[in-house]
Amino acid sequence: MTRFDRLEFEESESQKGVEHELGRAQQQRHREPDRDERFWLASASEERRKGLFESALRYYSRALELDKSLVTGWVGQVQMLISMGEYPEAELWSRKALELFRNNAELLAGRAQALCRKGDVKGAMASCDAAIGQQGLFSYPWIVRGELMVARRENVEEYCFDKAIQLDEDWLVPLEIGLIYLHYGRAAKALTRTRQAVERAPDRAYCWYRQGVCELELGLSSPAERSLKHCLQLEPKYADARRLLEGLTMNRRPVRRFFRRLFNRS
Amino acid sequence: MQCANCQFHNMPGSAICGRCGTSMALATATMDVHPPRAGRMSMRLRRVRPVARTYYEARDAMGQAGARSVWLFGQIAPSVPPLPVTIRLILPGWSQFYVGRRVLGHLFLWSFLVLLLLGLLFFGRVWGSVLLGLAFSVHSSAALDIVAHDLAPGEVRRRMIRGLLVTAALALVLYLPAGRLLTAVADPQVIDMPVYPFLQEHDVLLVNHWTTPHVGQIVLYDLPEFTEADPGVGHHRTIVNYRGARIDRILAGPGDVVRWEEGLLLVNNLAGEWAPLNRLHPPGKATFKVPEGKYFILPSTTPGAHGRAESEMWRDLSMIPFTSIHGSAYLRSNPLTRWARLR
Repeated sequence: MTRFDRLEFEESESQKGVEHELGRAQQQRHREPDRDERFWLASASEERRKGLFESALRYYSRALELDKSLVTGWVGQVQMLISMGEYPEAELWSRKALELFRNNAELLAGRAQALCRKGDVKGAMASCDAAIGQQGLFSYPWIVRGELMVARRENVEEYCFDKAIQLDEDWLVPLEIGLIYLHYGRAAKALTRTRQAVERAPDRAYCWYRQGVCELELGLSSPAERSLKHCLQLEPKYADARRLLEGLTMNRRPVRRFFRRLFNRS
Repeated sequence: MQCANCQFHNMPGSAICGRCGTSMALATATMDVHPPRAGRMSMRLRRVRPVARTYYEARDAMGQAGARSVWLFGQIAPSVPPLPVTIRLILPGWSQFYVGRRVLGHLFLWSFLVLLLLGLLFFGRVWGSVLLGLAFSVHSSAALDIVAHDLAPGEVRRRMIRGLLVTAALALVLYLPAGRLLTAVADPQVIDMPVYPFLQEHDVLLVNHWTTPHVGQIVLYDLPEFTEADPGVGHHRTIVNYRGARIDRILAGPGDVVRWEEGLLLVNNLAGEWAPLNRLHPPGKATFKVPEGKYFILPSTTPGAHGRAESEMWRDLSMIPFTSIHGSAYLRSNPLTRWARLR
């Protein structure tokens, strides 16, 4: 019947209407992702995985503009504020979010982390205990518990961090643990955790960048150079990595590096 | 209707979640979702010195102070011996005698007494201080021997803590008051310039601050400040400033009339019973009446005052207010070969 395929018939009104609806739905499907709160959350998560905390925070806010009931958005905002070093703001924001989502484990953990970074370890412990006591299995409260152990110089943080990694196999978890170690000047432990992240996501430029930073902190310039070069191969426009690499190649100070390695705290 | 916070399935039309209390109309609620941000300047200030961190550190330190005191009490409480033994800690070796460790008691007691005696003999000298310090150490060791009797040889840390506490307790309870008392009645004063033939350089005099001064007594006093300007010859001009602590004898009291003539000192028209430490013969003639509240002390131990004829200078330097007299010197304790009571 192929010879009748090209015959033209007058379309009925109902058929026209159906096709029009289908077209609109199709258009909607194409256009929807750039408006959906899920899209903004995904974008925020992607920016965060690149180490771009400022834009991640903006995307989390956009997601919340569309749907304020997204706990992930609030938690993400708190985490981004902490990542950017704005601890009092993060603490304030987590409190506000906790008014909306009472006893949310991740928000409690976010508040604990902000308090800990502010120096209120006592308050942070209380908040973290409350977070761990909540229902559900989240990795973030365990990360924060580990950070509290590091802040209190109690050498039992490994258990908490391992528990967090068990609960969430995302490569971001070991990377964030590495960042915590780095914040407290424990570069050797930070490098170990960052290497775990690199093993899990070797195609992520941010992981390699963080590994390079840890190696630089330890005074391991050659491995740092390799890591940063690898990062730039994956993401040639990675400005921070390029800047570090340029600094590394221009300011070669072997004596200073040697002493840095010798007297490094961890 | 599922709760966004706890995923609990609520009844349709519920305003809040039945489990966690989260608002069901949260998704469409009107509120600001943009978090507050720190300014550039505040971020810089926080990097320099985080105020919040300082506050929390101080708060936690204060909180720990209570815990530390409890811990310290725990360290001390078991180590406090029974009362009869504790009282006997006042003398090294006495507690050891009481608990039956006689050999150790003898060792502590006699070594302490020897060191204390030697320290007192050389009081005012460097050696005296060293020997007194050693005597204190022996006392502290004797007390620690009793207080740390229950500790095993390996418990170095606890032994050190108890040692520090015992030493501090002995110093505060016994040695500080004793030291204050000793320096009040026997304050050693080292002579920094000779008063021939009476005192020589580096002699040590003991001064009693608790005595009431009287005529004839050798006292430690502050010389009234007096500046003498000598016009000199040509461009040379000499300015002499008399001041500082001196040791000399009180020659006359308030109301006495002092007169000297031809090198002879007369008090109330009688030849003076007492002479200054240095045989001083002021030239010329002068008559003074000692005012109330003052003593007459010739500055015979003040270098440069000899041979001056100005009566104003003598009047100003010799009239010493009661308040400027610190005590009486009664003993030349060092060197031991010249040990003598001062009269």
